[in-house]
Amino acid sequence: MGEPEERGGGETEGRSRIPAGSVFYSKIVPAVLIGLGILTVVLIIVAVGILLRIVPYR
Amino acid sequence: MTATRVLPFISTFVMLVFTVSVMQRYMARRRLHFLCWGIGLAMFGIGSFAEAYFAVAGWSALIFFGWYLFGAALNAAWLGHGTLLLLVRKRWVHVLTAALVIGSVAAAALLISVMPRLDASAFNSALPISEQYREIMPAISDGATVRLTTPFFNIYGLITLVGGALWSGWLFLRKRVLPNRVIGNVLIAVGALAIASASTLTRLGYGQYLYLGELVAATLMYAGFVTASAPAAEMEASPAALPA
Repeated sequence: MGEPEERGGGETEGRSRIPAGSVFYSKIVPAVLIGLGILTVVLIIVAVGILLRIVPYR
Repeated sequence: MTATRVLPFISTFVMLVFTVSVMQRYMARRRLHFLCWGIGLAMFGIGSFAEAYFAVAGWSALIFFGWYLFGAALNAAWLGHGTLLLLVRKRWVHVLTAALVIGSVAAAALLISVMPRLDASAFNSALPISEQYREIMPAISDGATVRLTTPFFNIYGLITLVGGALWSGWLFLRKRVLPNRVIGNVLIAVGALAIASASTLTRLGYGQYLYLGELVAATLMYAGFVTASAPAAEMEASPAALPA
């Protein structure tokens, strides 16, 4: 939904860049992405568990 | 009316604005992923509207049909498929498009077949529909096989929508360009995870969080779309900069 690769790498040249040395983009955002990825995997496992009736549900 | 019951009205309004924004983008650029997102968002909005309707007007079998099919079963898969169409330009994705359309029609047919056996007397207007639909619908063992299809659609939607947003955010972060798209994709992922978590809790018997999850999802995904789309407006203003 965020239109990631609609434009090739070259087309992003000249556009805004992530500031070098930014703690937010070098530490916090990667940690958030990893955390969200882990949560996604957990939810997929629970959903598959529900589907296979391993996880009890109402 | 409690605060919880008001949430679907706000979600419906947010999703209406969001759907119009995405469909305007589709009309301008005729890209299939915008159409899939627009369909998914409209489905999301129908689900929210149905919840709002139940809160003020009481039971309706038709509204229940819309709520279950579009709000509970299909919307995540259509949203996620839009992301897949954007990220993967391969022929097999169109096979998945056909499978999604056929699966959606099959789910609709299964739901239609169970509609005459809904127990309207079990409906309680004081409770959110997400907390009582199990009592209204027959059990899977009694023929409500449409309930078996819902996890497949939602797992597919979770993988493609959240996975796609995280992957996109990671790509821009790695290239160190377009920070607004990094943030936009993070917001979309958080929003999608909010509704996925609320849906999972609903399946586990905690349906009281669904309406809040929907509002958080609608708001964050729209904020993410607006944030990530900001440079796209510049591109549209300059046709020469658009991809072939």
